Amino acid sequence: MTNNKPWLILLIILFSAIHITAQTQSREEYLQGFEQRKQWLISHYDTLTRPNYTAIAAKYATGYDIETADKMFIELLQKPSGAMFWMFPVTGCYFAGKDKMSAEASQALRNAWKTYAPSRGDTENHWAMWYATLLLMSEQWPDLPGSEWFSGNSSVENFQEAKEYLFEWARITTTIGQGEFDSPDYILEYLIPTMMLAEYALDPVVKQLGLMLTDYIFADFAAEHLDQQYIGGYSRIYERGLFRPQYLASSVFAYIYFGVGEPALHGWVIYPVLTSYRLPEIILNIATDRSQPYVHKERKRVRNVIRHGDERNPPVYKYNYITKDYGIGSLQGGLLQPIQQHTWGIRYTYGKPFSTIFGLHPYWSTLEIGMFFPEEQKTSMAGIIASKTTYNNPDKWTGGSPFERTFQHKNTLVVLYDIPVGTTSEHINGFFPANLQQRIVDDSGWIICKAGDSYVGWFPLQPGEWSKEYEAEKQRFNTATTSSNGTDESLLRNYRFRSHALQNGYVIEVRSREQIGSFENFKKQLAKTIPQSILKPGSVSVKYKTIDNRLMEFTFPEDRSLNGKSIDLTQYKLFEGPFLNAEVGSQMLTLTYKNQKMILNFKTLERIIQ
Amino acid sequence: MKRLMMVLGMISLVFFITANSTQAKEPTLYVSTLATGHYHTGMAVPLSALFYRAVSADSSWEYMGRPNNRIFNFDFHRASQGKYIALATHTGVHQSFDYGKTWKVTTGWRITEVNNVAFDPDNPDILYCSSPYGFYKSIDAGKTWNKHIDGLNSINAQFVSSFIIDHSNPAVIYSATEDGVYKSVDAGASWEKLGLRIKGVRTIVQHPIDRLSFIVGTEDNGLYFTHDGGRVWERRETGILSSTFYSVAFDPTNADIIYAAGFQTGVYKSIDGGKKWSQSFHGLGILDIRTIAVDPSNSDRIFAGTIGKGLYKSVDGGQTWQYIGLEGGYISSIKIDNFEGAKK
Repeated sequence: MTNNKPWLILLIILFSAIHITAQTQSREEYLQGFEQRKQWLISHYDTLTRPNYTAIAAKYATGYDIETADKMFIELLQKPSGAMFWMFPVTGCYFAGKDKMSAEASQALRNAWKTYAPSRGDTENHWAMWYATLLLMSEQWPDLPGSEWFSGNSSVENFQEAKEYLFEWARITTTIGQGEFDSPDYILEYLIPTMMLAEYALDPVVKQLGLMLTDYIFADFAAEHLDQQYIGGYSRIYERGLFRPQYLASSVFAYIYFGVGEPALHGWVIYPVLTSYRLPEIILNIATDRSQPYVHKERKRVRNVIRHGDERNPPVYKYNYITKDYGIGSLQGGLLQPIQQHTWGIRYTYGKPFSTIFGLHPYWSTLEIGMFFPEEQKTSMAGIIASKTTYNNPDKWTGGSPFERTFQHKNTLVVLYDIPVGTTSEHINGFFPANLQQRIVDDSGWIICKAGDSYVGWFPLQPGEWSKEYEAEKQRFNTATTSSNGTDESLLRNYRFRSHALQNGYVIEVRSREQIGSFENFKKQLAKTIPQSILKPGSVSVKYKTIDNRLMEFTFPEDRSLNGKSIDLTQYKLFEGPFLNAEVGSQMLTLTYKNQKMILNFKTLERIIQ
Repeated sequence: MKRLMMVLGMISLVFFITANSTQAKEPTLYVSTLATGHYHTGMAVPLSALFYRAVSADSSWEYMGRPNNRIFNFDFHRASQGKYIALATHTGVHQSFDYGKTWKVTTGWRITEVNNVAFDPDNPDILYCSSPYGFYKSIDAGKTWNKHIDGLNSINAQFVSSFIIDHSNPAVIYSATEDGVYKSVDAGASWEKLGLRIKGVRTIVQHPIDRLSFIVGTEDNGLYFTHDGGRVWERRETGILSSTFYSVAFDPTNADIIYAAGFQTGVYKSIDGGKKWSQSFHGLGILDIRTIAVDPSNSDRIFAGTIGKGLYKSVDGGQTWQYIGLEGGYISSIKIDNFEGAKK
């Protein structure tokens, strides 16, 4: 990191400390702050001397040392690697320096797109990056024959294929929901291509699609955002991001685009910030106004199920409840995304970075691998473990399970498990951060926690055991490893609550000081509300009256009722809440904030701001 | 009568192969690699390509193209002497129309993770490919592709791991799927399920003479045989300690000799048509084998492509093995042929 502009850093820190919210600042002030944050991000890269694409893009963008940028670009383009993770940086560099780079650098880029055949990958984010950049490059050299492209297809053929896919991706996303949804890590891999399309596409229709998809993804995040955190369940997250969200791309976007929280860096965010996209005021307001608690529901889509399933893209039902102090959110449970699923969690504004409580069944199997990956099941497990090192770890903190289901209503969540004997693993885990102000195991059976003005009650339906987990020193920076066995109390990260009963579950209640008054009162109320459960193989259920008298009955796996009325998850819309609304199949998202309204109509490609 | 026909068939096959092997030049070994070691998206894949070399040579490998694409399988159009080549890759079907000098991706975004590809032996314009999403056919040399899943009525049935074209009738195709074995008698247009009710069928091979006899290899369920075109199947496991088989190969000069290999198998060999099996791994650096091939010009010469440890050769009918290169390679397919064209 090179701080060549200390005045800018100081300004940014001051700006962050003041923490102007959207409600108190004018549009002009917001845009001024955005420009400062953008320059702050770029300033970390434009003077770097070690060749990398972020540095090249920064140098081209600022005009600082173009000669070095050219040299770096030519050097790196001699040995391309990284597939779509190569395609978007070189595309970003090209557009940042198109009018400044040497003819030799430009030729090196052209040659790379002829000789290097990047893999297309197998996930939605891979394809979004692959096709968006292929389209943009094809537009830049529109008349070349197939012999001049790695694909063997002409510029026109590449463009047509890419455009067709991108529109299909938008169609499916806006009719039955996004796959690889709501990932605090992979939001970056979607915003990079959509923002590049919005900025650089020559085809006006593609350009408009890029702009609207950018709005769509930002709006989705905004409605589930609290104090630089992504609330609820996620399709994908790496473990380190669960505990140290400053490494998450969503935190960087929240800082740069929402103007919220602590300065956070990610080199790849340079490609979005170099575009002229500015967050619409309504999305900023949705992201930052937490004056009223609200329920926000969504329907998303499971990644393509290629075997061991009955449906190609089963629906994901997501439920969030968000206040100014905390957010609790959940997916319905089951295997909804391989390896990195985060089914439910509580996040609050106190005690970052370890500002979360959640639980899971740490499951892994060749069945899960086979559902989503085409290679031979037995041998692909080794490959998965090599790249996602925690996958087969019984202590892991990410992953879905076919034996887990949730039922949430507002700030109450019930989670049930019916785990067959012999399953990996034969226990469930709960994560409680070490920095909680209080973590009381109450005589009533509730585990009661205080995190600033947020209170959390966790009623385990079966006995369990507590253990301490320490953060590996290196994990503070950048590894995907799980806990260490250290004894240095300064590195104590969390307490693990593990329960070995296979028929299991817990009830979660969350309240804020504003909602229930004192922590003592919260404890008192919880003690009066003890869940009743049946926990036998094949017969797992719970009946629970919440502290504000809502009756929740839940029988594993799918029988949920509230106050005697059955809950039908299939009625979920694509988006439903005070800010975002969209019907299944509509291809239209309506954003609402007070008297502001925005409509994204993907059928007509109209973007209406009222 | 059937027995007599089989014997006569075997004699003609031996004569054909012997005649060809004396007239032809040194056959060529073609090998595709899926990846190097433990691949994940975004990493460099230096060994992912199609290679060739002389079967018996110790010379280094010649590169034929398509780096950085995970190649699951490939096919030459034999009648064209290798002018037309198709690769089944993670990124779709890649085709060459000039002996591998140039390549083109022909499948577009609708077809992905292609695990097998084959030419109609009589017509290089007709190609088939399969993927976890179904079965596809092109009748215009890859310009357009159509999906054919009529009869493949479930997600598991549409997961076609591999397929073969009947050696006596190119309109008959057999697919190994996650939901058992399916047969098409109309060149892939529609499918019917055969008798095997086993999940995870990974490979199917046809007896070189008896067109009604097949062997399938499965993930977790061993080897199954049929001799009546797929109505009745029998699991053969005498001498077999493993359950997952990705590759089965007949000795083309003696169909009673069969090789089979897969996950943690080494190489199994049967000399009695699959009744009893013996395991061989002497010299093999790994027991995980993705593909095996028998040299038709010398059936004591067997090749085994491993999962992550390159290629091995046996010159004594699979008793002992020696490493012959492509270090770290996940070898996905091996073919041995003697046509001229597909070499630069």
